Amino acid sequence: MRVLLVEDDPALADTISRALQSQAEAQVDWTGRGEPVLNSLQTDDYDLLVLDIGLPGIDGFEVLRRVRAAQLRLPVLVLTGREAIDDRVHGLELGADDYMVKPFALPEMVARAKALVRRARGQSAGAQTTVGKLMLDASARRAWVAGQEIDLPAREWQLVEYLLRHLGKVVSKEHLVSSLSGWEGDVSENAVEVYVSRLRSKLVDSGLRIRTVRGFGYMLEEAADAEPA
Amino acid sequence: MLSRLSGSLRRRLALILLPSLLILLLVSALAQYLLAVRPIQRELDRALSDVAIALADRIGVNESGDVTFELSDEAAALLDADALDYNWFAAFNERFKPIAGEPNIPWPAVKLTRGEPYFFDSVVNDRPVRAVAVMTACGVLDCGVVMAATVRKRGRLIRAAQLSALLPVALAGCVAFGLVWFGLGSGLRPLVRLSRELERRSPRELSSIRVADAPDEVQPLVEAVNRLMQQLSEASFAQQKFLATAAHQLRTPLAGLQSRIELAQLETRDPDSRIRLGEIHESAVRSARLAVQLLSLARAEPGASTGDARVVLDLAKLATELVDEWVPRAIANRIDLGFELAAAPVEGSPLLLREMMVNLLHNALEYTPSGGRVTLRTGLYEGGGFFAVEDNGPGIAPELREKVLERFMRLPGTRGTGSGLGLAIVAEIAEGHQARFELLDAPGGQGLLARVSFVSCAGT
Repeated sequence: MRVLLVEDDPALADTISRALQSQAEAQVDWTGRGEPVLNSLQTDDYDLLVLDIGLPGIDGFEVLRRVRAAQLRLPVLVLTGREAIDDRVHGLELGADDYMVKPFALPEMVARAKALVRRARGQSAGAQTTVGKLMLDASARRAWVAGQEIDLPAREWQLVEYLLRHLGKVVSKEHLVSSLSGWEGDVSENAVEVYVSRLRSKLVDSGLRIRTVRGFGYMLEEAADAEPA
Repeated sequence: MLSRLSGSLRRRLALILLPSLLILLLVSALAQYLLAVRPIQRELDRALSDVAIALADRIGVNESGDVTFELSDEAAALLDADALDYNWFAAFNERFKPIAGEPNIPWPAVKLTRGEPYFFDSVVNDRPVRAVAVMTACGVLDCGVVMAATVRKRGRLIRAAQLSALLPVALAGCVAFGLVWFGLGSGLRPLVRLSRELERRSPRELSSIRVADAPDEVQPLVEAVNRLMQQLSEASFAQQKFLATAAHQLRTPLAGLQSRIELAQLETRDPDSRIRLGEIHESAVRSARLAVQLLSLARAEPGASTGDARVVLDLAKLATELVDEWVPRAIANRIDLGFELAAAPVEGSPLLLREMMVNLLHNALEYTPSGGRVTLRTGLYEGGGFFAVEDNGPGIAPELREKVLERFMRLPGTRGTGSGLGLAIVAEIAEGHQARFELLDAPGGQGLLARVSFVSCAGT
């Protein structure tokens, strides 16, 4: 994958580049300023933009705004200082896909970068997504676990799609309720629990696992990241 | 403490003022008494001596050379025409033996001069009397008359004079004592208000004090206190600024160090190196966190110039923002991190409130053993918003709970990478928000419940 890194601290930029190179086989281009970003993104084909908010000249928000205004859809991972609590909300509103608060753990940063790229590829590929041993064919609405087709009714299908879109992130039950509710009728929180438990049993051998975040929601994670159950 | 202090100053002033006032009053009473009594004595004495001199004229010497005294019965009756007192006289011959009048009247045993009345006190017929002796010439020899009057009238007049002297003074004295006591009280009231104002303050409040209608004498004290406050607050501000700058300067290289170590960890294949790097990494993380906490501490100080504007916000929403960051950490520590979030509107600085939650979560994850449970809760408690972090870890013994709020205090034998600042930061931020920070037993019987409850922000 190809990553454009925008970070004004050369030491940190170097560390991030090397980590992405060695851990994600990424090709990383680095710039310390926000001005040339849009041009680079338009000329070359990048899979991911890693964007620091605190930049000299135009700041990360402005870069992000310009990127999205130019209809560029690539995933953006925002890096932000700890003080900038509202920055993250702001960043997500402007179209960042994920954010990390400095100082962050490098392995986690790499993992999130990979997840963003994988998610984006899955969406753009449209038809087929493979995560772990789970394969989804969106156009045919069919799913396989380890080559074995599984039966996913509409709600479970919506649920697994939603969770895959937020792979490795905590999703709140509230969000699941509103995302599963729609023209087919409303879904209660209890119903969500039922769908999750059904889906869980179907994903047993998929290398994926739905973790319950008590009192809040769920998190779909790859078994490699997960603790042995 | 406060009333004892002001009382003692009042008492001290009273002890100086009241005895002098008492002496002054006694002296004035005495002077008034003497001024009133002397003229009475003198006038009564003169009346007595006038009669005595008139009587002395009645003494004569007959042909045979004997001293005689002649007084008509009517005149004698007039002499004693007094409703209150007995008036006695006696005439004495040249040998000073009584020849007429009351025989029990004595002749004074002193040497007298002719024409100069001599006054003395004596007793006649068992009654105290005031008497006057007048010596006159009987031919070539001396003879005399003594006029004596009982002292009832005299006593009455003197008592009246005493009363007229003492009564006003006593009344004036009582009133003056009262005025002094209450005057001192009201005069010292600005001081009492000043000390009350100082007492009321939290140690972090270093703004100038204002004492309503402080008199000129108290004004310098108020100004001195304010100058001291000003200096304190400047010193505290400088210290904060230094702390913030130092922490900020430290943080960036430490974060860099941390990332470098992580990169080395990712790239190395040698298991021994991985272990060593792990140890170094832990120290780096610990130092970086310490720098961050020092920065938070500097921000939690009053008057810290952070953009920490107070806003009304929901703690539940703030907690939601922490889910993404903290669930993976809890998973890494094999801790079941759960949430019970109900709306909890409070007024405060989002940055600092978040800092409090983060510190409590960090502590709970740090000290709760693997397999434990940690719950972040928000909601309403006694009308105000609250948040609480509950764990089922080892807890903190009640007698140590006060102690762990001190900066750099770590309980002996505790594990983890704590700096001993976390709870101190929470306590300081809570204080700055007029919130109550409590460490309680977890309801389950084991573990710690750390709760921060805010006053109701309804109507703000």
